Amino acid sequence: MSDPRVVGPIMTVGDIACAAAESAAAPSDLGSDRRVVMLPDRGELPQLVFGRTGGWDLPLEDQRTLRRRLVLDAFHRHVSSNATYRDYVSRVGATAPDALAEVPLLPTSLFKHPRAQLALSPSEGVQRCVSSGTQGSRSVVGRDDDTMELLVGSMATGLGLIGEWYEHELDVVNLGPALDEADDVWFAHVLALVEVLYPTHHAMRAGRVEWDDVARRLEVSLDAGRNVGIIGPPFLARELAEACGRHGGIDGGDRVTVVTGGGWKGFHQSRLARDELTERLAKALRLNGDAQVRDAFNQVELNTIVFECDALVKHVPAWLDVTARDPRTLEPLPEGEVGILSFLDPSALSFPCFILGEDVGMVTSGACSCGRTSVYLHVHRRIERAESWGCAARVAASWEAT
Amino acid sequence: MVDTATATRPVAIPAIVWGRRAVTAGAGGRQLAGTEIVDEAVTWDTSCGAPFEHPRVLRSPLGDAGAARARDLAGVPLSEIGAFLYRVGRQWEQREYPRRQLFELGLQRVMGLSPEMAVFEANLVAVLLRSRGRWLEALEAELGSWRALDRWVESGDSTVRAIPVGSVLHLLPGTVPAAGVMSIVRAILTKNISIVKPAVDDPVTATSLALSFMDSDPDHPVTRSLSVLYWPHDDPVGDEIAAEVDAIVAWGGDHAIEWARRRAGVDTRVLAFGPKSSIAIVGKGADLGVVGDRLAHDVSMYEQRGCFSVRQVFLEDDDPESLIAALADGLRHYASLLPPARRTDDEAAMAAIAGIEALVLGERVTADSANAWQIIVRAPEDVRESPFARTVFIHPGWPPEQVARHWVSPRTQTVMVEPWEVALDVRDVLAAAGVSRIAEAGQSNLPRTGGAHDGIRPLAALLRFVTCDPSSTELGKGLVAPLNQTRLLEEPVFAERFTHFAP
Repeated sequence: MSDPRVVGPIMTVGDIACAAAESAAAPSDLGSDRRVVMLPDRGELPQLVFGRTGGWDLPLEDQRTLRRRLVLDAFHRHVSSNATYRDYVSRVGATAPDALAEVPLLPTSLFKHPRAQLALSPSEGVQRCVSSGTQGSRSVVGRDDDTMELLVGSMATGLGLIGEWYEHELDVVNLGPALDEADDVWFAHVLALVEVLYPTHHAMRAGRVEWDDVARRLEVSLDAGRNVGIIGPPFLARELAEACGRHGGIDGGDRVTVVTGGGWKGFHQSRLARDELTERLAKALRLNGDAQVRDAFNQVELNTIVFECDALVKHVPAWLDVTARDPRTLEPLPEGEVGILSFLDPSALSFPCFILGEDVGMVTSGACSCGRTSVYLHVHRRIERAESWGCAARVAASWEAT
Repeated sequence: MVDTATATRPVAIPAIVWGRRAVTAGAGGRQLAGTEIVDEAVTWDTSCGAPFEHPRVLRSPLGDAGAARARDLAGVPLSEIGAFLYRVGRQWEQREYPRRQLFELGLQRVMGLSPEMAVFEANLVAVLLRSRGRWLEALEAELGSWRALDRWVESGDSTVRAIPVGSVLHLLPGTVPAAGVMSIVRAILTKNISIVKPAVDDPVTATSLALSFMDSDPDHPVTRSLSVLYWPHDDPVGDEIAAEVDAIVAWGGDHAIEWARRRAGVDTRVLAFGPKSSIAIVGKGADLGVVGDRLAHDVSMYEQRGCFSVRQVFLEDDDPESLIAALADGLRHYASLLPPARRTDDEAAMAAIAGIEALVLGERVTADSANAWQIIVRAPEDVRESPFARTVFIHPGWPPEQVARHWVSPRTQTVMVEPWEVALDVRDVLAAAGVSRIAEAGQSNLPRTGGAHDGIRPLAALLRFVTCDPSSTELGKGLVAPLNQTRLLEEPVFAERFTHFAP
């Protein structure tokens, strides 16, 4: 078999996405049943999002300058196009923010609100993206094609932190369902999007995973000399470790990488600490090192996926602003202080992605041992909600906490 | 900045086993003979304040020791039980009583209550303990005669005796300290022994009560009827205890109630208090001169965490401005009378987020500059949850009857009403909708004697009523001759007559 590195152009994840972006028609090398990544406009933002570097090759100060420009451009675009956001901005008197800290934030809870009208309507060609509803009601976010493609671009850039393979060198096993089964549930949808970038087997069918089949597939791929990327939520990754253990273990060596994302959802009560999950996966898949188990951060209201590098640090792409805020005043906190995380994401074109989430964490920055310079995202936990009403609430919370 | 880890030194909370401080074997050989109930202390985190240290529970304290304690308590006349509680209550009345002072400090350190609220709560404990008359009245209302606890009493043609179910496991709430005291006192008055599992957020109240019993008389059967032990919810010792007791009183959310129901034996009674929430109705003609303070009371008490706490106010008037002004005045007043409890960063953030949500949605927001409270005018269908922190949602334009029809369900505990006359107009509709209690605004935390609690007669539910029928020679109501059923069967003519005489 000839070496594709000799006979064809080298296609990294970023290349594939960029090439797709330049192509108006389905490129044959991606296969006719693949989704095509297309962007109508190669402006500064798409170039950055679909570039391989995430802007991490720029000095931090330049990243900040770039980020400020992109976010403020996005702010003005949304103010002019989104009546709900425009009214809110005028109400709080922040029509001309000079600094990113002055951009009015939208609590993510508003995306659950039927009256909020924070995105284009379905008639305007948007896809309805819905959260899993772990904490009760579901967030609904409308994404148009361009916004969705920029999301895929962020995935491509982020996956570059995991490694760069030729398409024929990597098999991806998505522990979740395929796109047609993921419906509009965001977390499953995002995982399935990886099929745009790599040959992907979706392990979940009709809500079930045949774990023996998954283990056999891993062995077949590894026997064929290919690398394997496994993506899925941590609760399925835990089941994978158990299944592979039952199977007698898999000789993953340095050719298997597991990427978790999406949180523990309804399995929060039985969640494992990150180290424990890594240890179980490393043992069951006989991995060479802990750095082969990575985590990624995203939520339905955010249009960028933030991945970890091999130093297990989450690198924030240059276009995305992440700030920790004082929980009592919501004022921005200095780097290194823990607070409620807010995000300003200019890659969301169909809705104002200036969000105040419900995650607690902090932001740092600097030069990473992986060689990249960036802002780092550290997510510690979710806010403990007052949730259910009454004595009930408090007792239920403590009941679960113990 | 979020406080990621509390550096506060843990508060030591002793384990109480049948009126004795349980001491581990490692503590200088002072282990309680025959108990071996607890092991070394473990530190547990609370939501609002300092963590606490409490011995790990190894096994159920019931068994022979529990049976002996139950026999002792069952033999004590109710008057003596009442007198004992009264004596302890008189101690709690004294501000300088050291146990009370420690209790107040504990509520502040562990639960984050303000000093004023801690004092209020200590006063409430005193009232609950020394209210002999009110407790007797409550027993009378539920049992027909409180004397049934001490002897056979006539009940129609029969005589009945109220027998304690035996042992009660209390799963207490972490929100309303006085509710825990009430739960325990109910068990004592019905002569049941208790194993109390405090909530992780309030390990203070039940232990303080048990220690005050020990202060008063360490060998009194009431003192010896009480064990206070904390264990994490998934600890097998909880399953062991739940399977052994005769009743479980579960305060809390779905998880706690489900836990109790799943583990209870077939014959075990489960009394579920929660999860429920409460609302207020302000009808036309309400006196705004008083309604502000009354609603503010029901909002501020226990920081809206109680089942009876008001979080939503339905206003009959279309224009909320006058009520907002009155309620804002009331909340300002209560911010000084009962300063807010210490809020976790998460609670503070959720309250701040609720305020921003309202701004985005263009809702009317009136907020305290120091974030002590906020009032938001919002359609009731848009209220998904309460952020607590004295956040009040006002819903204008809702006639009381429509509120009852659309916003009251069996999950509604109390409907606070203003003016009171409105309650009399809508109570039938409220009752049909599923409400448990109707009260005047400002009275949320003080239910009157004789009422039911979440649809339950809680004292009667902790008793087993035994009936002793009279002799057949004793002519009951409607009988004119001794009852001889054999003869009735043998001679049909008598059967016919019997239907006349004993319809």
